[in-house]
Amino acid sequence: MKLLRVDSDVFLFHLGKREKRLLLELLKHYPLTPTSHHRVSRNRTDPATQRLLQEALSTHRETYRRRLDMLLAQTDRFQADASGYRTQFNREELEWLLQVLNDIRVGSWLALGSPDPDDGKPAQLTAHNTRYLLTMELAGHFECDLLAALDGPAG
Amino acid sequence: MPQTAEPVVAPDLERSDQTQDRDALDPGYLVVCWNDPVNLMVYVTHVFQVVFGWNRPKAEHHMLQVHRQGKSVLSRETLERAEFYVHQLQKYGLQATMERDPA
Repeated sequence: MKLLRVDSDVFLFHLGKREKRLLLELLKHYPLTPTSHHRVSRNRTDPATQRLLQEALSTHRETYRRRLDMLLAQTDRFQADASGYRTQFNREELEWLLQVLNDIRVGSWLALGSPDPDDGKPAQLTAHNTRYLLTMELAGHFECDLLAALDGPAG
Repeated sequence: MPQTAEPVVAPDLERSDQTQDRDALDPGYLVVCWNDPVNLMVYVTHVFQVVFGWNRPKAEHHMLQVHRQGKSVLSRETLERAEFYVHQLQKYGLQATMERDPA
């Protein structure tokens, strides 16, 4: 996913044909992170506040899921060119896509058993969850592309 | 040139009887971000910049604190503001919580 240019907060990207297919397939996985992954506090347990947080996160996800469905249904969002597709997003849409992609990345990581190679805890790969290794890495790849567009090559 | 008419109704300057809960005004809640091995460092830096409006050096400082020390205290806020920031950070998928400041 290559940034071609930025005009007045509108970011124009180029994607290869396979890259576009991968991105759209990846986005279908949203949401992947369970809301229970997030806690209000680590020191105190307040069930009412925790419940409110999870309700807020659930509502947020439903909104994002609907928005994502609309995006995936927009046939003119991706314009074919000689070597793939061109597509554009504004800054707010890129922030939204970042959140969606990171949810898929974190959810994939959880499905792999929360691996931490630096701490001697490799991924617990099974026939059932191996696909999450791919979704985790792909989501990270697209996140890096979007971050480079938003913040510059240094991230 | 049109003139401004005198107001016929005096503005309501009566003091509100409503009081806020003392706890809600107490800036004694810490917004904390915890380390995890999945969120990319560049992503965490970006999220801090967006959520708190920080410049990149400050955002990177806190990101590195999370990475090296396991957590970083990002802000000290009232209960309501702390909840707001924690929710914003969690929307981005970061491990953020609010903790009562023991000090």
